[in-house]
Amino acid sequence: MARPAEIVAGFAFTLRGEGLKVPPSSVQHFHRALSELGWSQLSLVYWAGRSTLITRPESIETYDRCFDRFFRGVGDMKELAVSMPSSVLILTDEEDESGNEDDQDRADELPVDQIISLRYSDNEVLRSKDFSEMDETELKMAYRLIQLFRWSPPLRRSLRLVRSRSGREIDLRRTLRESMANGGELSLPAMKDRGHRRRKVVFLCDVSGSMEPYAKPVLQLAHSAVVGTERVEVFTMATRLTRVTRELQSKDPDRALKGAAAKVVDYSGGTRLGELLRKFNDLYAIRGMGRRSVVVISSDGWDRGDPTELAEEMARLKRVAHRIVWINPLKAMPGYAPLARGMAAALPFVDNFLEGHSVAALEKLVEVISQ
Amino acid sequence: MAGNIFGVDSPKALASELERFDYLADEGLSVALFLALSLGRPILLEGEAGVGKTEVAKTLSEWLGVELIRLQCYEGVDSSMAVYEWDYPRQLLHLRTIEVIEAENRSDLDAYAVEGELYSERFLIRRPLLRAIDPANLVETKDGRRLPPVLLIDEIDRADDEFEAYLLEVLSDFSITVPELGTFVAEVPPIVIITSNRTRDVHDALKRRCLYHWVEHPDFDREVEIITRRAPQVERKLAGQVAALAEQLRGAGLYKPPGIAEVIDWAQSLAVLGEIEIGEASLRSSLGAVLKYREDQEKIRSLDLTELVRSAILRGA
Repeated sequence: MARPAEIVAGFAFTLRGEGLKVPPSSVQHFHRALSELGWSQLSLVYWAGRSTLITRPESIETYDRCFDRFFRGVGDMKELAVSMPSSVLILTDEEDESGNEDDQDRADELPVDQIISLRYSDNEVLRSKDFSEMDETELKMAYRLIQLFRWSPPLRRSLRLVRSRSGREIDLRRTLRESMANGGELSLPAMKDRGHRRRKVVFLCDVSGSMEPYAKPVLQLAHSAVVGTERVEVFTMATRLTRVTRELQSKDPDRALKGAAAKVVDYSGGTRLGELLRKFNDLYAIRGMGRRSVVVISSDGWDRGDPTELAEEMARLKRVAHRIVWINPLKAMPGYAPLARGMAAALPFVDNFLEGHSVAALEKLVEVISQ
Repeated sequence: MAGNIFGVDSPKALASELERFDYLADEGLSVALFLALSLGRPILLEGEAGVGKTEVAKTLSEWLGVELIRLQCYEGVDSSMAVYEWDYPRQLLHLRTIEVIEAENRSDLDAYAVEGELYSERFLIRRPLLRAIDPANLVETKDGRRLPPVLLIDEIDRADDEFEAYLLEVLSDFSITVPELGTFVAEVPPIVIITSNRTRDVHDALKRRCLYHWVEHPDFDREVEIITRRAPQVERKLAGQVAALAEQLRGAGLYKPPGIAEVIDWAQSLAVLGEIEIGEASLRSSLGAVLKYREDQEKIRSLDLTELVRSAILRGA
């Protein structure tokens, strides 16, 4: 029979194996919770784990699966034998699993650096070249340029009051403090006023088949935004809507993109833009993420779903967002007209319609966002 | 099983205590709450709007007979609104008074003494977090247990990140330092309920400190029970039909699926209109009590209402 601590650790081990982040403190809480509740009832064990080991509803499915696997068929807890390596440490830090696979890339990168510095004029050509026409080396150089983008999302008035010379409200706290310095003599009152905050920026990147050559550069751009400024959220759209902000938080762009790619299971395959946008609206935008934000949608507008639904959802988003920017790489093609049904449906609700097919176009996007 | 100062020894016992106050907690929620009480940990409740997250805190405080201290978060909430603030107008007045007295007595003013007086508890305004850990707010029961207040930190996702970091500090050792006065330490940590609507992710550090529970919409039987308890004037039959309809509405892919509070309102308004059973006409006319988006109302009105009512009557029976 396994000791309770072993069962607890073994279960946490199973959860981690399925990719859940279970910090050591949560395992301790689980252990303590069970010493309160006892082991006699499986449903209590289940709920004790639910309230201590996971912290977001997305994890519930995985948790259920693991719980089922780990505890299934256990009539009596005492009979539970835990099979796991005896050397398992509860205190593992699973922050990174860096291997040496990147070394190859690094070796490749060196000459690229030199190319950039030696052949400056090439940069200009590169900047306006369409991503779909670039070869591997050119793409790498393009990504490098994208990483250098400077972000400064626009400011909006915040509700937080800060010190201000010409403010509208008297800052009594400061006034009194300053008067104490003069032995209680009141001089001019200190003032305060509403401060500023950066607007949120939300990226919705279509990564379906037709967007293939452009999806990765846009994700690169999103990554540089996540790293370069606060309050950025990133989602990918293909057959599903996937939130990849967390994965993009790594400072190392390669690792970040790898993380995001691992999460997006549906790189190619069609898009149902309306449906996905609806999901975005329901789960995130209307509740707050979209409110007063700049929403950037990157898609060619090839929608396999119902264009009326897309129009409806765009209207909903428009009602809460500060600005909607749509980038469509096809727009750069000579003679382009937004004839794709999805694009035509969405366009009336778009504030800025941009190209996004090259480094220069993405630069323009950053500029527009910062306005 | 270990006991605790709240006098319940199992999640079941807690659930039946809460039931006396018309709050029906399912097994998951009662286990999470029981653990929060026994381990003295804050609990983070997330879930759709209107599933009764805030109500939990109200019911806990009613049951224990302790104060409910509520901190409603909003953008820009800061320590002067959440922790403490000095009563500046009164301080200024006090200064003036001293000045006048001093002028009459022609005595010298002792700056240190004046400052000490100004920054004394007399001029301290206690905001929710400070009140929650203030031993003065403990309630003593007949058998000598001292119960802490319930601290409800509502909609934490609306507050700024900076505030969350501050909160983390307070929640980790339940002490607050006021530089001019000293440190307030909780004798018994308050029961802390934090709610979030998930408009942004709460930081992992805060989550680590809390127990977590995702609150679901109640199932059919529970919802009928909740309606009849919260709105006693509603006939049992009508309550069943309303709950059945609510179930269908939630499955209809609406922008804003009805929360339990709206469903209770709905049942109540039907009862006020003198209905004892749902019908096509009353459904059509009362839809505004439960669906708050024009698009949602249109969507439901375009369905086969006769069929909707028929199946609700069947299910509700």
